[in-house]
Amino acid sequence: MSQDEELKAFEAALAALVPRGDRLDRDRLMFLAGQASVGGILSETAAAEGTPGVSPVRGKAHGQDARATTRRWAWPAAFSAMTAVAATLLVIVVARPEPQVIVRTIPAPSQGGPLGNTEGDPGRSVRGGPRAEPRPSWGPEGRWPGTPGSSPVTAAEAMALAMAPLWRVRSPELAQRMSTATLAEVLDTILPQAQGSAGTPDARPMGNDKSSYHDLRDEWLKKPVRRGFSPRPSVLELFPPLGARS
Amino acid sequence: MGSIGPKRLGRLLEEHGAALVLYAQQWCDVPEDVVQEALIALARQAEVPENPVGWLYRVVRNGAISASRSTGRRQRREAAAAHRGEPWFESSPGDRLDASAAAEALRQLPAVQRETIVARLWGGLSFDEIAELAESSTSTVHRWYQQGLAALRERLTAPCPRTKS
Repeated sequence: MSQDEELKAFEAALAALVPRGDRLDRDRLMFLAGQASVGGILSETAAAEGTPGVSPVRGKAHGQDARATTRRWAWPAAFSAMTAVAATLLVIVVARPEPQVIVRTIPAPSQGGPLGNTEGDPGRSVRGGPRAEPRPSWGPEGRWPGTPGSSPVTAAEAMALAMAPLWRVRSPELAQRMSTATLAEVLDTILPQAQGSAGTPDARPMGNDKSSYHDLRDEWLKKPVRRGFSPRPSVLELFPPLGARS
Repeated sequence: MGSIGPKRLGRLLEEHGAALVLYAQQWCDVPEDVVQEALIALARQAEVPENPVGWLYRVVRNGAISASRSTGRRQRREAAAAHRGEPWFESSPGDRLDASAAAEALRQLPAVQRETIVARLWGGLSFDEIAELAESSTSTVHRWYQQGLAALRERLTAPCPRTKS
Protein backbone atom coordinates (compact mmCIF):
# COMPACT_ATOMS: atom_id res chain seq x y z
CA MET A 1 0.00 0.00 0.00
CA SER A 2 1.44 3.34 -1.03
CA GLN A 3 1.83 6.22 1.31
CA ASP A 4 -1.04 8.14 -0.30
CA GLU A 5 -3.33 5.17 0.06
CA GLU A 6 -2.32 4.81 3.67
CA LEU A 7 -3.07 8.45 4.26
CA LYS A 8 -6.47 8.14 2.59
CA ALA A 9 -7.28 5.11 4.65
CA PHE A 10 -6.29 6.93 7.79
CA GLU A 11 -8.34 9.94 6.68
CA ALA A 12 -11.39 7.71 6.21
CA ALA A 13 -10.88 6.12 9.61
CA LEU A 14 -10.60 9.52 11.23
CA ALA A 15 -13.69 10.77 9.44
CA ALA A 16 -15.57 7.76 10.72
CA LEU A 17 -15.34 9.14 14.22
CA VAL A 18 -18.63 10.78 15.11
CA PRO A 19 -18.62 14.05 17.05
CA ARG A 20 -20.80 14.06 20.11
CA GLY A 21 -24.30 15.04 19.16
CA ASP A 22 -25.90 15.21 22.56
CA ARG A 23 -24.55 18.59 23.48
CA LEU A 24 -27.29 20.62 21.82
CA ASP A 25 -30.81 20.78 23.21
CA ARG A 26 -32.67 20.36 19.98
CA ASP A 27 -36.14 21.16 21.28
CA ARG A 28 -35.08 24.31 23.06
CA LEU A 29 -33.06 25.42 20.09
CA MET A 30 -35.94 24.94 17.67
CA PHE A 31 -38.25 26.81 20.04
CA LEU A 32 -35.87 29.77 20.29
CA ALA A 33 -35.26 29.74 16.54
CA GLY A 34 -38.98 29.80 15.85
CA GLN A 35 -39.47 32.62 18.29
CA ALA A 36 -36.61 34.56 16.76
CA SER A 37 -37.87 34.00 13.23
CA VAL A 38 -41.30 35.35 14.16
CA GLY A 39 -40.51 38.18 16.50
CA GLY A 40 -36.81 38.58 16.30
CA ILE A 41 -36.72 39.39 19.99
CA LEU A 42 -33.73 37.34 20.75
CA SER A 43 -32.34 39.55 23.43
CA GLU A 44 -35.51 39.45 25.47
CA THR A 45 -35.68 35.70 25.14
CA ALA A 46 -32.10 35.34 26.17
CA ALA A 47 -32.67 37.58 29.13
CA ALA A 48 -35.77 35.61 30.15
CA GLU A 49 -33.88 32.37 29.80
CA GLY A 50 -30.93 33.69 31.73
CA THR A 51 -28.52 33.06 28.89
CA PRO A 52 -26.02 35.68 27.90
CA GLY A 53 -27.18 37.86 25.05
CA VAL A 54 -24.36 37.03 22.80
CA SER A 55 -24.59 37.95 19.18
CA PRO A 56 -23.98 34.89 17.05
CA VAL A 57 -22.23 36.94 14.46
CA ARG A 58 -19.79 38.95 16.48
CA GLY A 59 -20.25 37.64 19.94
CA LYS A 60 -21.48 40.94 21.33
CA ALA A 61 -24.49 41.87 23.30
CA HIS A 62 -27.49 42.59 21.14
CA GLY A 63 -27.75 46.05 22.57
CA GLN A 64 -24.43 46.74 20.93
CA ASP A 65 -25.51 45.51 17.53
CA ALA A 66 -26.99 48.85 16.56
CA ARG A 67 -23.87 50.68 17.63
CA ALA A 68 -21.69 48.19 15.83
CA THR A 69 -23.77 48.58 12.71
CA THR A 70 -23.48 52.35 12.97
CA ARG A 71 -19.73 52.11 13.30
CA ARG A 72 -19.59 49.71 10.40
CA TRP A 73 -21.42 52.15 8.17
CA ALA A 74 -19.76 55.31 9.40
CA TRP A 75 -16.68 55.18 7.21
CA PRO A 76 -18.47 54.01 4.06
CA ALA A 77 -21.01 56.78 4.58
CA ALA A 78 -18.28 59.36 5.07
CA PHE A 79 -16.47 58.06 2.02
CA SER A 80 -19.64 58.25 -0.05
CA ALA A 81 -20.37 61.77 1.13
CA MET A 82 -16.88 62.99 0.31
CA THR A 83 -17.04 61.31 -3.08
CA ALA A 84 -20.31 63.06 -3.80
CA VAL A 85 -18.83 66.41 -2.79
CA ALA A 86 -15.78 65.84 -4.97
CA ALA A 87 -17.95 64.83 -7.92
CA THR A 88 -20.10 67.92 -7.47
CA LEU A 89 -17.06 70.18 -7.40
CA LEU A 90 -15.73 68.46 -10.50
CA VAL A 91 -18.98 69.07 -12.33
CA ILE A 92 -18.97 72.70 -11.25
CA VAL A 93 -15.41 73.18 -12.44
CA VAL A 94 -16.05 71.48 -15.76
CA ALA A 95 -19.33 73.23 -16.41
CA ARG A 96 -18.13 76.65 -15.39
CA PRO A 97 -18.20 79.06 -18.36
CA GLU A 98 -15.06 80.57 -19.71
CA PRO A 99 -14.08 83.83 -18.10
CA GLN A 100 -15.62 86.72 -19.97
CA VAL A 101 -13.00 88.85 -21.67
CA ILE A 102 -13.88 92.49 -21.78
CA VAL A 103 -11.82 94.55 -24.20
CA ARG A 104 -11.55 98.16 -23.33
CA THR A 105 -9.75 100.55 -25.58
CA ILE A 106 -7.75 103.01 -23.61
CA PRO A 107 -6.34 105.85 -25.64
CA ALA A 108 -2.61 105.79 -25.54
CA PRO A 109 -0.96 109.00 -24.51
CA SER A 110 -0.08 111.06 -27.52
CA GLN A 111 3.53 111.22 -28.58
CA GLY A 112 3.00 114.58 -30.21
CA GLY A 113 3.82 116.60 -27.14
CA PRO A 114 3.63 116.83 -23.38
CA LEU A 115 0.03 117.89 -23.41
CA GLY A 116 -1.21 114.96 -25.51
CA ASN A 117 -1.64 116.49 -28.93
CA THR A 118 -0.95 114.57 -32.10
CA GLU A 119 1.27 115.96 -34.68
CA GLY A 120 -0.73 115.44 -37.81
CA ASP A 121 -4.21 115.95 -36.46
CA PRO A 122 -4.21 118.54 -33.77
CA GLY A 123 -6.93 118.15 -31.26
CA ARG A 124 -7.42 114.38 -31.77
CA SER A 125 -5.72 111.53 -29.97
CA VAL A 126 -3.90 108.69 -31.71
CA ARG A 127 -6.71 106.15 -31.23
CA GLY A 128 -9.48 108.52 -31.90
CA GLY A 129 -10.18 109.19 -28.25
CA PRO A 130 -11.52 112.36 -26.79
CA ARG A 131 -10.11 115.54 -28.04
CA ALA A 132 -6.99 116.78 -26.28
CA GLU A 133 -5.81 120.22 -25.56
CA PRO A 134 -5.18 122.38 -28.62
CA ARG A 135 -1.73 122.67 -29.90
CA PRO A 136 0.18 125.52 -28.31
CA SER A 137 0.66 128.54 -30.34
CA TRP A 138 4.13 129.24 -29.04
CA GLY A 139 6.00 126.13 -30.21
CA PRO A 140 8.60 126.34 -32.95
CA GLU A 141 7.02 126.02 -36.36
CA GLY A 142 3.69 125.60 -34.75
CA ARG A 143 4.64 122.39 -32.93
CA TRP A 144 5.52 121.47 -29.41
CA PRO A 145 9.06 122.18 -28.56
CA GLY A 146 11.00 119.00 -28.10
CA THR A 147 8.85 116.85 -30.40
CA PRO A 148 10.66 114.91 -33.10
CA GLY A 149 11.57 117.21 -35.90
CA SER A 150 11.41 120.26 -33.71
CA SER A 151 13.35 121.58 -30.84
CA PRO A 152 13.04 124.60 -28.67
CA VAL A 153 14.77 127.52 -30.15
CA THR A 154 14.60 130.10 -27.48
CA ALA A 155 14.97 129.99 -23.76
CA ALA A 156 11.35 131.03 -23.40
CA GLU A 157 10.18 128.04 -25.42
CA ALA A 158 12.35 125.72 -23.41
CA MET A 159 11.05 127.17 -20.19
CA ALA A 160 7.45 126.74 -21.32
CA LEU A 161 8.22 123.19 -22.32
CA ALA A 162 9.76 122.46 -18.95
CA MET A 163 6.79 123.88 -17.15
CA ALA A 164 4.20 122.06 -19.24
CA PRO A 165 4.20 118.82 -17.15
CA LEU A 166 3.87 120.84 -13.99
CA TRP A 167 0.89 122.64 -15.36
CA ARG A 168 -0.73 119.44 -16.29
CA VAL A 169 -0.19 118.00 -12.86
CA ARG A 170 -1.30 121.07 -11.03
CA SER A 171 -4.35 121.93 -13.06
CA PRO A 172 -5.74 120.82 -16.43
CA GLU A 173 -7.32 124.22 -16.74
CA LEU A 174 -3.93 125.87 -16.36
CA ALA A 175 -2.45 123.52 -18.94
CA GLN A 176 -5.29 124.33 -21.30
CA ARG A 177 -4.83 128.02 -20.79
CA MET A 178 -1.09 127.83 -21.28
CA SER A 179 -1.40 125.87 -24.46
CA THR A 180 -3.44 128.56 -26.10
CA ALA A 181 -1.47 131.46 -24.74
CA THR A 182 1.29 133.20 -26.50
CA LEU A 183 4.80 132.65 -25.36
CA ALA A 184 4.90 136.10 -23.88
CA GLU A 185 1.79 135.32 -21.89
CA VAL A 186 3.36 132.09 -20.71
CA LEU A 187 6.34 134.02 -19.45
CA ASP A 188 4.03 136.51 -17.84
CA THR A 189 2.62 133.65 -15.85
CA ILE A 190 5.90 132.04 -14.94
CA LEU A 191 8.16 134.92 -14.20
CA PRO A 192 6.14 136.69 -11.51
CA GLN A 193 6.19 133.46 -9.55
CA ALA A 194 9.91 133.30 -9.98
CA GLN A 195 10.01 136.94 -8.98
CA GLY A 196 8.27 135.99 -5.78
CA SER A 197 5.21 138.12 -6.36
CA ALA A 198 1.76 137.45 -7.59
CA GLY A 199 -0.23 139.55 -9.97
CA THR A 200 0.70 141.42 -13.07
CA PRO A 201 4.42 141.76 -13.63
CA ASP A 202 5.68 145.24 -13.49
CA ALA A 203 8.77 147.14 -14.38
CA ARG A 204 10.50 146.67 -11.04
CA PRO A 205 14.02 145.36 -11.08
CA MET A 206 14.41 141.61 -10.78
CA GLY A 207 16.34 140.78 -7.63
CA ASN A 208 19.81 142.28 -7.58
CA ASP A 209 19.62 142.85 -11.29
CA LYS A 210 18.90 146.29 -12.39
CA SER A 211 16.95 145.16 -15.41
CA SER A 212 13.21 145.01 -15.23
CA TYR A 213 10.94 142.10 -15.78
CA HIS A 214 10.12 143.25 -19.28
CA ASP A 215 13.78 143.38 -20.16
CA LEU A 216 14.22 139.88 -18.87
CA ARG A 217 11.22 138.59 -20.75
CA ASP A 218 12.33 140.12 -23.97
CA GLU A 219 15.76 138.68 -23.51
CA TRP A 220 14.41 135.15 -22.96
CA LEU A 221 12.19 135.41 -25.94
CA LYS A 222 15.29 135.93 -28.05
CA LYS A 223 17.92 134.03 -26.13
CA PRO A 224 18.82 130.76 -27.88
CA VAL A 225 18.49 127.66 -25.78
CA ARG A 226 21.55 125.94 -24.48
CA ARG A 227 22.86 122.96 -26.34
CA GLY A 228 21.98 119.51 -24.99
CA PHE A 229 18.48 120.52 -24.01
CA SER A 230 16.37 117.66 -22.56
CA PRO A 231 12.60 117.75 -22.92
CA ARG A 232 12.06 117.63 -19.18
CA PRO A 233 14.79 119.43 -17.37
CA SER A 234 14.13 121.53 -14.40
CA VAL A 235 13.77 125.19 -14.81
CA LEU A 236 16.88 125.81 -12.80
CA GLU A 237 18.92 123.68 -15.16
CA LEU A 238 17.72 125.62 -18.12
CA PHE A 239 18.22 129.05 -16.85
CA PRO A 240 20.75 130.73 -14.67
CA PRO A 241 19.42 131.87 -11.35
CA LEU A 242 17.55 135.08 -11.46
CA GLY A 243 19.78 138.05 -10.79
CA ALA A 244 22.91 136.14 -11.82
CA ARG A 245 22.72 136.71 -15.54
CA SER A 246 25.98 137.14 -17.28
CA MET B 1 -36.48 32.90 -1.19
CA GLY B 2 -37.59 33.91 2.33
CA SER B 3 -36.42 32.87 5.74
CA ILE B 4 -35.36 29.38 6.58
CA GLY B 5 -38.11 26.96 7.55
CA PRO B 6 -38.16 24.75 10.62
CA LYS B 7 -37.64 21.61 8.57
CA ARG B 8 -34.52 22.89 6.91
CA LEU B 9 -33.25 24.32 10.15
CA GLY B 10 -33.82 20.98 11.86
CA ARG B 11 -32.02 19.18 9.10
CA LEU B 12 -29.07 21.54 9.36
CA LEU B 13 -29.01 20.96 13.09
CA GLU B 14 -28.99 17.21 12.69
CA GLU B 15 -26.41 17.14 9.95
CA HIS B 16 -24.04 19.81 11.15
CA GLY B 17 -24.86 20.54 14.78
CA ALA B 18 -22.35 18.15 16.28
CA ALA B 19 -19.61 19.13 13.86
CA LEU B 20 -20.31 22.80 14.52
CA VAL B 21 -19.96 22.22 18.25
CA LEU B 22 -16.69 20.40 17.64
CA TYR B 23 -15.56 23.26 15.44
CA ALA B 24 -16.46 25.92 18.01
CA GLN B 25 -14.68 23.92 20.67
CA GLN B 26 -11.38 24.79 19.02
CA TRP B 27 -11.62 28.30 20.48
CA CYS B 28 -13.99 28.47 23.41
CA ASP B 29 -15.37 26.41 26.25
CA VAL B 30 -19.01 27.27 25.55
CA PRO B 31 -19.36 25.83 22.04
CA GLU B 32 -22.97 24.80 22.54
CA ASP B 33 -24.05 28.38 23.26
CA VAL B 34 -22.20 29.67 20.24
CA VAL B 35 -23.74 27.11 17.89
CA GLN B 36 -27.18 27.71 19.33
CA GLU B 37 -26.86 31.45 18.80
CA ALA B 38 -25.66 30.85 15.26
CA LEU B 39 -28.65 28.71 14.41
CA ILE B 40 -31.00 31.25 15.94
CA ALA B 41 -29.31 33.97 13.96
CA LEU B 42 -29.86 31.92 10.83
CA ALA B 43 -33.52 31.66 11.69
CA ARG B 44 -33.70 35.43 12.07
CA GLN B 45 -32.35 36.03 8.59
CA ALA B 46 -34.97 37.43 6.27
CA GLU B 47 -33.27 35.70 3.36
CA VAL B 48 -31.51 32.36 3.62
CA PRO B 49 -27.82 32.72 2.80
CA GLU B 50 -26.67 31.24 -0.45
CA ASN B 51 -24.51 28.73 1.38
CA PRO B 52 -26.12 28.19 4.78
CA VAL B 53 -23.51 25.69 5.95
CA GLY B 54 -20.62 27.98 5.14
CA TRP B 55 -22.50 30.87 6.68
CA LEU B 56 -23.03 28.87 9.87
CA TYR B 57 -19.37 27.95 10.11
CA ARG B 58 -18.35 31.56 9.69
CA VAL B 59 -20.80 32.75 12.34
CA VAL B 60 -19.76 30.00 14.70
CA ARG B 61 -16.10 30.82 14.17
CA ASN B 62 -16.63 34.52 14.85
CA GLY B 63 -18.82 33.80 17.82
CA ALA B 64 -16.39 31.34 19.32
CA ILE B 65 -13.45 33.69 18.92
CA SER B 66 -15.45 36.55 20.41
CA ALA B 67 -16.53 34.39 23.30
CA SER B 68 -12.96 33.38 23.96
CA ARG B 69 -11.86 37.02 23.89
CA SER B 70 -14.59 38.08 26.24
CA THR B 71 -13.34 35.86 29.02
CA GLY B 72 -9.61 35.96 28.58
CA ARG B 73 -6.79 35.95 26.18
CA ARG B 74 -7.37 33.88 23.12
CA GLN B 75 -4.45 31.55 23.45
CA ARG B 76 -5.20 30.81 27.06
CA ARG B 77 -8.82 30.06 26.23
CA GLU B 78 -7.85 27.88 23.29
CA ALA B 79 -5.52 25.92 25.49
CA ALA B 80 -8.15 25.58 28.16
CA ALA B 81 -10.75 24.53 25.61
CA ALA B 82 -8.40 22.12 23.93
CA HIS B 83 -7.58 20.45 27.19
CA ARG B 84 -11.06 20.31 28.57
CA GLY B 85 -11.86 16.83 29.71
CA GLU B 86 -15.11 16.29 27.84
CA PRO B 87 -14.89 13.73 25.08
CA TRP B 88 -15.05 15.11 21.59
CA PHE B 89 -16.30 11.96 19.85
CA GLU B 90 -18.77 9.23 20.53
CA SER B 91 -17.13 5.93 21.19
CA SER B 92 -18.17 3.00 19.10
CA PRO B 93 -16.81 -0.54 19.12
CA GLY B 94 -16.47 -0.51 15.35
CA ASP B 95 -14.15 2.46 15.21
CA ARG B 96 -10.75 1.75 13.74
CA LEU B 97 -9.27 4.56 15.79
CA ASP B 98 -9.61 5.16 19.48
CA ALA B 99 -11.90 8.18 19.95
CA SER B 100 -10.23 9.57 23.04
CA ALA B 101 -6.76 9.09 21.55
CA ALA B 102 -7.87 10.83 18.39
CA ALA B 103 -9.28 13.72 20.38
CA GLU B 104 -6.09 13.98 22.37
CA ALA B 105 -4.02 13.93 19.19
CA LEU B 106 -6.24 16.62 17.72
CA ARG B 107 -5.79 18.80 20.77
CA GLN B 108 -2.04 18.68 20.35
CA LEU B 109 -2.15 19.92 16.78
CA PRO B 110 -1.52 23.56 15.96
CA ALA B 111 -4.74 25.56 15.89
CA VAL B 112 -4.79 26.15 12.15
CA GLN B 113 -4.24 22.47 11.37
CA ARG B 114 -6.85 21.40 13.89
CA GLU B 115 -9.41 23.85 12.54
CA THR B 116 -8.76 22.75 8.98
CA ILE B 117 -9.10 19.06 9.76
CA VAL B 118 -12.28 19.51 11.78
CA ALA B 119 -13.90 21.69 9.13
CA ARG B 120 -12.86 19.29 6.36
CA LEU B 121 -13.46 15.91 7.88
CA TRP B 122 -16.53 16.49 10.04
CA GLY B 123 -17.86 19.75 8.61
CA GLY B 124 -17.58 18.56 5.03
CA LEU B 125 -16.36 21.97 3.84
CA SER B 126 -14.27 22.30 0.75
CA PHE B 127 -10.77 23.67 0.90
CA ASP B 128 -12.00 26.85 -0.76
CA GLU B 129 -14.60 27.34 1.93
CA ILE B 130 -12.07 26.64 4.67
CA ALA B 131 -9.64 29.08 3.08
CA GLU B 132 -12.34 31.71 3.09
CA LEU B 133 -13.08 30.99 6.72
CA ALA B 134 -9.46 31.09 7.77
CA GLU B 135 -8.78 34.08 5.52
CA SER B 136 -5.97 32.26 3.83
CA SER B 137 -5.25 30.72 0.47
CA THR B 138 -6.55 27.35 -0.65
CA SER B 139 -3.05 25.98 -1.12
CA THR B 140 -2.08 27.03 2.38
CA VAL B 141 -5.15 25.42 3.87
CA HIS B 142 -4.48 22.27 1.88
CA ARG B 143 -0.93 22.19 3.21
CA TRP B 144 -2.20 22.61 6.77
CA TYR B 145 -4.58 19.72 6.21
CA GLN B 146 -1.90 17.41 4.87
CA GLN B 147 0.51 18.30 7.65
CA GLY B 148 -2.17 17.81 10.29
CA LEU B 149 -3.20 14.46 8.88
CA ALA B 150 0.39 13.30 8.76
CA ALA B 151 0.93 14.37 12.34
CA LEU B 152 -2.23 12.60 13.49
CA ARG B 153 -1.35 9.45 11.66
CA GLU B 154 2.09 9.50 13.18
CA ARG B 155 0.58 9.78 16.63
CA LEU B 156 -2.34 7.39 16.20
CA THR B 157 -0.77 4.63 14.18
CA ALA B 158 2.52 2.92 14.64
CA PRO B 159 4.90 3.87 11.88
CA CYS B 160 5.71 1.06 9.51
CA PRO B 161 9.32 0.03 9.77
CA ARG B 162 11.11 0.75 6.53
CA THR B 163 13.86 -1.46 5.28
CA LYS B 164 16.57 -0.24 3.04
CA SER B 165 16.73 -2.15 -0.21
